[in-house]
Amino acid sequence: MFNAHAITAISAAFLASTVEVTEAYTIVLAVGLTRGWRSAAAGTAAGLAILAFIVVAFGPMLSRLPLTALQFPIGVLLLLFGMGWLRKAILRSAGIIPLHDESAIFEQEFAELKDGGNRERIDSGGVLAAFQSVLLEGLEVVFIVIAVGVGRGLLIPAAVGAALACILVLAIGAVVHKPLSQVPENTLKFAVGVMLTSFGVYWIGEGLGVVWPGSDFALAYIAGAFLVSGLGSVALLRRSAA
Amino acid sequence: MSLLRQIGSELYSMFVSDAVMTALTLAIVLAAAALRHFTGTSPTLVGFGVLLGCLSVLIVRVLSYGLKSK
Repeated sequence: MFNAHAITAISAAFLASTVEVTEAYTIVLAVGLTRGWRSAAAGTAAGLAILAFIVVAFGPMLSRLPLTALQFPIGVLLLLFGMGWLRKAILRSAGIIPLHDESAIFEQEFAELKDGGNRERIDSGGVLAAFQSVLLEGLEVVFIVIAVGVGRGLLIPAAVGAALACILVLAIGAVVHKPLSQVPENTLKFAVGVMLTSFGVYWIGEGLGVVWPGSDFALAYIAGAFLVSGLGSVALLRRSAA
Repeated sequence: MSLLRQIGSELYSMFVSDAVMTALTLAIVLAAAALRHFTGTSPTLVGFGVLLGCLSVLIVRVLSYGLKSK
């Protein structure tokens, strides 16, 4: 039922959403604990509503365009986006730039929000902080869902993958009630970077009329090439630091 | 206004994490498209050229950033 494209699209949406929702959850948690849960929920709901609107408005519109018109431009955007994530994940894995520290971000946000505001009623500062966090982190997820979903009828599976990650992270967050520092964000970012760059190169090729040897299996060897290059770069950078 | 600026900045950083890497990647893709449309270069060769070019740009940019940061 699912081919390599579908599996890669759904996995990319799920993993990317896990990373971004974990980051947004940290801010929403700080808002909830300092300005009250009603403010946190209101800001989160408003952010999610705008993100859902973007997917519902642009996804079907782009899906109506012929695949050949979409492959090249979406391939280029996926390639640029994926290479950005992969670059950052390589530099973090090699210890060149610091890992994303959810606990430190939570402490900072908590310190900024704890003074002022009103926990008893909806607090505009808290709503805005939660709203901004959900909207800004969610934009990347929305891009991935639309980019990997359009053209091959995978918009709904990709959106479901992203929504499942959202539910999973929020459910864990509701139980543990602290920043999710244990989520291996950089490993997930590395994996998503590899998937999106592979999608990008594959789609650019198809947009230019390339018939990839191995058809859909080409995604696997393109991903393998990016994975080996990424891991090799990490090893080289670590060795040069030693 | 501040929110719109933040959204704009977020959208920019989504695609331009390293300006030189982005420019080189776009140059490779545009060169591949030009080769494909204006010459008789084999499409498969163009596809693998894009793959190798992007791999090279990624490796060179992360290594140069990493070595400069030491």
